[in-house]
Amino acid sequence: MTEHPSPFSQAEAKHRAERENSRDAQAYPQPDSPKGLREPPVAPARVAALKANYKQAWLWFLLIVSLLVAWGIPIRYAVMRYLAFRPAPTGPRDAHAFVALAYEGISDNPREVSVDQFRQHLAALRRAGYNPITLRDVYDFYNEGKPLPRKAILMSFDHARKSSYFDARSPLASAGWPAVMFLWTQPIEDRDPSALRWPYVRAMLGSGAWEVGAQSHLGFTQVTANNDGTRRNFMTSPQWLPAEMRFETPEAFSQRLQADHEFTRDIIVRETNRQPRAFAFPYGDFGQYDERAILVRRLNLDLVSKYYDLGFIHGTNALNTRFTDPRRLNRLLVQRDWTGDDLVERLENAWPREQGIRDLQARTSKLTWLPDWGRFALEDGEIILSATDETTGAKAWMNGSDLFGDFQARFRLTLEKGQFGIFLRGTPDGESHLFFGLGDNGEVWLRQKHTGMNPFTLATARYGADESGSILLELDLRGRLFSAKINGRPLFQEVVTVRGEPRPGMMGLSIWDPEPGAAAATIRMLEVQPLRNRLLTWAPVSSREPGLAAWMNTHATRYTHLSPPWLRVSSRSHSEQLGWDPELFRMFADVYAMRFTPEILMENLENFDPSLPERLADFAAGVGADGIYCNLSELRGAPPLSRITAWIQALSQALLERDLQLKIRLSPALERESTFSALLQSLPALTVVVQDSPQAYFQDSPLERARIVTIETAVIRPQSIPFHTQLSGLDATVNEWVTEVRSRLLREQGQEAFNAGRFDEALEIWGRWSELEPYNAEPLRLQGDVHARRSEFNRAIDLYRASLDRSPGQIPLVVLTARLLDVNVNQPREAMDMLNLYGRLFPGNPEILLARAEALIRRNRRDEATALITRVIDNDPEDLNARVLLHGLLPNPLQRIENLDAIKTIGARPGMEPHFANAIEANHLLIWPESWRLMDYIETQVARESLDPEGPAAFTKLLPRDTVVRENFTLGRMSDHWNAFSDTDDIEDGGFLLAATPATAEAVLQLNRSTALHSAFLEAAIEDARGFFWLYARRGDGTMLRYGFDQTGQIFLQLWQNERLISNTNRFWTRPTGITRLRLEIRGDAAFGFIDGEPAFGAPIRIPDGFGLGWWGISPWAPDFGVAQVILREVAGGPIPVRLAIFPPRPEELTDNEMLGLLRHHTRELQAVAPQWYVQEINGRVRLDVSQPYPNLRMLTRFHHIRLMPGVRAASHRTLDLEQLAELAARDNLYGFTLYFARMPPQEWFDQADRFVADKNLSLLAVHIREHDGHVDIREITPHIGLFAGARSIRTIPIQRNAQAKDTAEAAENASVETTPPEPPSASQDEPAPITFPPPPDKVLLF
Amino acid sequence: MSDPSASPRRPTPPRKKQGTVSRCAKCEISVYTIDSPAPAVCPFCHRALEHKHFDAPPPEKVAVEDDVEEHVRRLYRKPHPLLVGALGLIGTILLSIAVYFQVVNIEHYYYAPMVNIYSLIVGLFIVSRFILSSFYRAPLDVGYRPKISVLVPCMNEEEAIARSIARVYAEGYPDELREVITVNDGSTDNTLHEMLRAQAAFPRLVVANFEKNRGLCYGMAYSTLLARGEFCVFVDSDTFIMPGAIGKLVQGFVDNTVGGIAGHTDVENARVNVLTKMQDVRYFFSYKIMKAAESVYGCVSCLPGCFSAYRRACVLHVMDEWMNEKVFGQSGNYGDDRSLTNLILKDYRILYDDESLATTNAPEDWRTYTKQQSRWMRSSVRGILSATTFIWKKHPVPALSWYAMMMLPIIEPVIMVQALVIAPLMQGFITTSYLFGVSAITMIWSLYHFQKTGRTHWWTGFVFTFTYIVFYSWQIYYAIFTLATKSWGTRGAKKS
Repeated sequence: MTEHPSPFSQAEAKHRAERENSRDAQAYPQPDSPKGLREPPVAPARVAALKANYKQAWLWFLLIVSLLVAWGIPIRYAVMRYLAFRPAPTGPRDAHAFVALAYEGISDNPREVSVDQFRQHLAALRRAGYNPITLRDVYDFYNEGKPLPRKAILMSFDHARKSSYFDARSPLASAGWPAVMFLWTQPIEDRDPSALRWPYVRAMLGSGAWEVGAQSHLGFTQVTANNDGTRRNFMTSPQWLPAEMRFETPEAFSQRLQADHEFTRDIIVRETNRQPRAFAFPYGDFGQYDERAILVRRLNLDLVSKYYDLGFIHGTNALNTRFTDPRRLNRLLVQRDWTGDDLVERLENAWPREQGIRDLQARTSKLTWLPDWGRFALEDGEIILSATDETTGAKAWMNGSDLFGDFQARFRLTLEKGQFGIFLRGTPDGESHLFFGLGDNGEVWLRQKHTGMNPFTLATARYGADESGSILLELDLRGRLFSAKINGRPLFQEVVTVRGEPRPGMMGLSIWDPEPGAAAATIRMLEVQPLRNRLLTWAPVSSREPGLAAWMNTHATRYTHLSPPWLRVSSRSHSEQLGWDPELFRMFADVYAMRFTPEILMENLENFDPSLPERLADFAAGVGADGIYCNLSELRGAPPLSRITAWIQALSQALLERDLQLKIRLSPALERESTFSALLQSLPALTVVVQDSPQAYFQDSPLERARIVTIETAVIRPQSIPFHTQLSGLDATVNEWVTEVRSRLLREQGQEAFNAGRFDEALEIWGRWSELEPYNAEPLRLQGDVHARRSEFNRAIDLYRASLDRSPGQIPLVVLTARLLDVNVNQPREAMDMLNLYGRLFPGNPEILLARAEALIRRNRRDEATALITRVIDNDPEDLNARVLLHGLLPNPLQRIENLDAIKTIGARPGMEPHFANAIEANHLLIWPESWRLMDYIETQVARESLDPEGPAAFTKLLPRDTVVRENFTLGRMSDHWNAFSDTDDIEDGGFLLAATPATAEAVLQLNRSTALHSAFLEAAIEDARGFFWLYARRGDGTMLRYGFDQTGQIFLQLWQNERLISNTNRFWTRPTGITRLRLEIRGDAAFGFIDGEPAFGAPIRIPDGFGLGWWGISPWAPDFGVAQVILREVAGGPIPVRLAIFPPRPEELTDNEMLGLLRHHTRELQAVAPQWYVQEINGRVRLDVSQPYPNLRMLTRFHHIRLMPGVRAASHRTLDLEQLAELAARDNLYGFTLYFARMPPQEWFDQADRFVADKNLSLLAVHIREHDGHVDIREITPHIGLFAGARSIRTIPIQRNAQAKDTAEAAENASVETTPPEPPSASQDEPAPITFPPPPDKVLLF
Repeated sequence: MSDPSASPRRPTPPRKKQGTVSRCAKCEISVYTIDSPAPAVCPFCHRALEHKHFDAPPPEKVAVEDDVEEHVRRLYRKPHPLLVGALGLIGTILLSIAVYFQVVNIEHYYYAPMVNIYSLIVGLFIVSRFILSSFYRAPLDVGYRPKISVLVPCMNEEEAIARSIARVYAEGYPDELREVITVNDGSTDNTLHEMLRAQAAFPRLVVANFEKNRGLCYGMAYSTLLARGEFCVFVDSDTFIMPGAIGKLVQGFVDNTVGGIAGHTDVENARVNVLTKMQDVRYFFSYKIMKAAESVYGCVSCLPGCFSAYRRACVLHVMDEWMNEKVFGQSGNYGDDRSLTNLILKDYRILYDDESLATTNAPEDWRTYTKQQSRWMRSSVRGILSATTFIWKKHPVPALSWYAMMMLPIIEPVIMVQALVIAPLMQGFITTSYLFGVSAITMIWSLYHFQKTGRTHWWTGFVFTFTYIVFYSWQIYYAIFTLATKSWGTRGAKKS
């Protein structure tokens, strides 16, 4: 071992020595030290040192980890900041259109755009100056009107495809372009490897460069759409349910889509915490590919607006303008084989062609057109549109024609086979458009289609082609006016008016023939020019030339302003040039939608009358002009600009005050851009008229030009008047005018005849109108009205139905027809069918629902009716009609009160007041017995201080009359206390002829403010009468009290309720010659008739408790129209005071006969009697306090219909048990009770009591006798019509103490019974009619 | 031993030598010694041994017929430098692609979060192995010559044992500093006889004989207890030690904190078939890369029983614990090389010496291989689990690697299924990043193997990877569920 050569150091040697030692110690294990094996070897010092090092290493490790964690957030922030998305600058924002691109996906998939290609697209778009926008911009554009940058473009990607994001983001980010990703959530949720994952979606949103929209969850799946297993798109096809052999219902379809939308939205919100703003239709399909799927389209669009702000489709269109429906915005679907330049070229062609399109470009540039289907070719400068072998036709849209609103178009075409058509103002999805069709059989037609509706025909005509077969077609479209010419000849006899609001839209060409592959047309020339504002005027002398009207009828569609020469102003004097008829020009301008601005030719501005502008403006306003065209181009001399400006300012100011416009033409020397700018800027209502196009002046400043156009101070170019014609149309017959004018005339003439009762004439006139406008529904309806008026109901119904066929949307007419069918011709089944049909067509339409409810009420199917009405009310709790209709159906008085309170709440809304007053009147709300609840509201309104005096006045009409009016006609006129519905207003020799019109069976003289009257009288002195003569009281719908006579010699007092005669008293009576005075009177529950002051019948008739209110009036009636009449000499009417007989508490009792004796003389004036029979004990119980039954008193009150309401003494409202009172009243056969209170209970108690009695047969009078001043406080509580008219409140009534002695009863009778009114206290001789005075006060007779 | 041919005299018939048999009746163990001192007490039960004498058989020359030079030359050849350069280039490219895939995967993380995070960690782990192993330096040969004991426990190895012993003696370590102890663990064949024959040739050889089979670890323990050297070098009966290997192996013990050192072992029978070739590549990788990387921080996870050295004091220190190890509360014979390593690792450093060469026989049929793999897997799971309780006290780098090593094989099959089965079924394509990553790594270490050894069967690395991923990775679960099993893969088969 020692020999072993080793280069050990000293340290090694030392170690070795140690090892030697230890080896010796651990040689072989010795038997006596077995534990030696288990002794641990000495751990060398270095192990400990190493362990310490490990600790240090771990500390370092932990330190680094902690540092990484701690610095993570700032580092991440710094990195994000460095990498943050910086949007590219977009320049000024003043544009109103944008294009949108849709990429299905960016990937290596050969069917999709590759990454390189996308880079190319992006580079080309940037080169071409496109500016990216975001969804937020689009939203602001449509919802807040915020303009977009010029050449705005929205980039969007579909399907949430993974590669679209991973591959597109870096080119987009380096360009600073934002983009939109539409999330199809299904593959994301299913973890499809090609779809994005939510963390990436969140990262996209977090980067700021991306926005997300929704693209449905199941929208790309297909559903079984037919029983043969055809599968169609989920969102646009109802599902076929094979198990049930039917399609799903529209409700189920709607719910399916809604569920999908909600699901998608909820997922996106859950994962991204953001509401998706936009929706992209899967396959870009919202149902537009199926023409018949109107419901589907409407539903889909409705759902977009319900769940999102914006909706996108995709296809060949890229452009969206102000007029694009934000629920179906276009996106250009980028195709795989497009290079960047292709894409840009396509987009460039998509922008609106503001200057129209010229022939050459239209015929040679392929990109001008977007072929839709069929064959479209440009060959040899011709457009060939033809069907392919498989198709029946072809269609192409013009790129960039989206803003074609008002324009002139010229086509030269050859129609080989089929029907050629031009779409105007269309949307490419076929939702709305005007369609001008031209068949090879010589027919033309103009059809219109609105969004969500079926198309309808506006006009048809025939044309003749020339020998070559070439057709020159000229179309003019301005506002709602459309006119067409073929080969120079006007096509329709007149201008066609387009329905609805004119909106710009695209122009498209189509060809169609039923035979596949046959249709073909060639277009050789095509030109579209936007329509400029043009002013039509002519030299004054021409106005007399013949044929001006005819010329205008052909050409007027091209003009926007009509300025017939009117005045020539020279020096101080001015001369009116023409005796032209402003009416005629006004109407002419109306018909052609022109502005009517008469022309003033100023020749001199020296020393004109300072009041001239005012007078001119007054005259213009007087003739109904829209403004004045002031021609300053022929000013003599050269007045300084300051004077011209002063004149313009003065005139402009005068016109502005009358809301009129001013158009100015300056002398040629002043027609400069600078002058115009200065004028236009200082006078915003001014329009400048120039000879040339506006471009001539504002060529270099498109901004200026655009600004002028938008604020409608467009520069107008006057027509250079190539014609000099005379306005001979003054004496033209009706037939020379265009249809619009003629139809208006016919309508008015017919109305005149109808009102005059010349029904045959009206029928004839409206019949002519119907022939003139066979598509117009109105004349048919009017003719139906005539027949209905003549009770020829079957004929009327036929006409109404014809009218509905032409225009099915006339819901009021539907309701009317159904009512006629049901009520008048007894065809309830047809009526219900009709209503049910419309109920399906317009589900939820309240008018239809209510009409159905009314029909059901007539069937007495009140529950179903209630259900229908409740549906309307649930939908709109403030539907007054429904509430009114419902009221009659409510069986429970409490419900009725609730309903009335609900109606009251409707009226209590701020701003509702005047309208509500009219509604109360129109709906007869006051005729219900509960109407007193409305009264306090009405009284509040009357007392209200209002800025609008109409408000309280409207309510004043509703208050119950508080004066008696007495009218004689000696002055030859009638006061406004009466309201006459009469043929004549003739008042001769102090007699008023009240006569039915030829169209009516009765004439009516209503007493104003009578609807809420309870106890009142009506009196008439009549001289002569034809037919029946009636005095009506409380007349409502089927409810009335009437008193009168007929020609058969009987006099009647009748009470009708719900159109049934309830009680009738009559006797033979012949009206004596001369003046007869009839009087109808209601006192409480009793109704009396008087002839010349004497009772006509032995006993009054009783008015039942449920009898409602209504108006009071005088009315002759005869079964034939126009026969009934009466000559009235004097009429009077007004309230009757309330009289109560009460017996104050006294210890001794009056006997039955004594009471009878006291009351006998007051039977005709008393409404209620309150003998002191009951007493309230300490515990609140009420008991009978008298021993005798008082049979005579009971009989007296029963006979005279006086309410017997015995008094309850010492009543305390706190302990009073109303239940017990109701039981007592029933037991003792009483009308109710009079409660003598020592102090009046608080209002709350009354409210409570009102509610309590509402459904009980119990009436109460709360009485507090104020002995010290001889008055009584009375408050009524009754479920029936009360004694006092108006709102229920505590009234204070004077006491008339009646002597106990029987002999004084006579005196009392004289003092209190009012059969004839006293003379008015201060009736002056100057005002003999009318005489109004307060009626005698209400009184309490105290015995 | 002295070379008989060195004597100028005619050879005299060998004198019959007398040896001593020391037997413990209780333990039923005998120790045969000739020139070595006989033990006085039983190392297990500490009873006095009864001694008998026996006649050693006449010494025969044990043939060591191998041409060692040729052997080494065959094992390690230098490939052409250009080829090496090209391979390096390929490796670099592959590695870059794999890194690229990793980066892409981080971006697409959410599409396969499990696979991605797994392959990220695996990638980091394996790359860290390469990086760490590049810092590895074998212990310096300072000429340290301590007294050592070479211990050869074996069972039923009658064919190889004599040769094996002869090779130990031929290895070249100074005779006086080396003792050789061989243990016959109750063999049923002529192993004992072969041992005694070898003892006759090398009279200092100590032969211990278990009269009944006790298990390898008893053999190891018994021989360690018998040993008198400062360091124990364990050698398998089928291990062939290259000349100078033992001398090199103990150089690391110069450092007092080192408790054990693993030698480098190649597959002896590498040329037999694909299986052995494959194992050769695999051995090379696990030694040259894995052990080398672990050795940088002195945390080699396993000192293989076939050729490694222990500080005897350390083994004695943990022997009690090692022999009485309990798994799931069940005591039994679990101790093996790995658990011993763990116990030592707790307090000491364990190194690897890649210049100390040996070869060993690998299983030649798949059945044996499978059993061996299963046993290794079980012991590796056991070892890794038992070390988790203290490994965090080591340096963070080996500690974290250790935990990664613990988790990754468990997740691996799941990931494989996700990437190669579920993904194609659900999404229509195989997770390419996974496939590419695995291939790239296999490629790199296979090429490394080629570059270092010049052995042309480097491609069998792919076979290994494939078989491992598809079949053997699943053994981890089997191993987890059968942790308490004792059966011995390769040798148990013979026994039955």
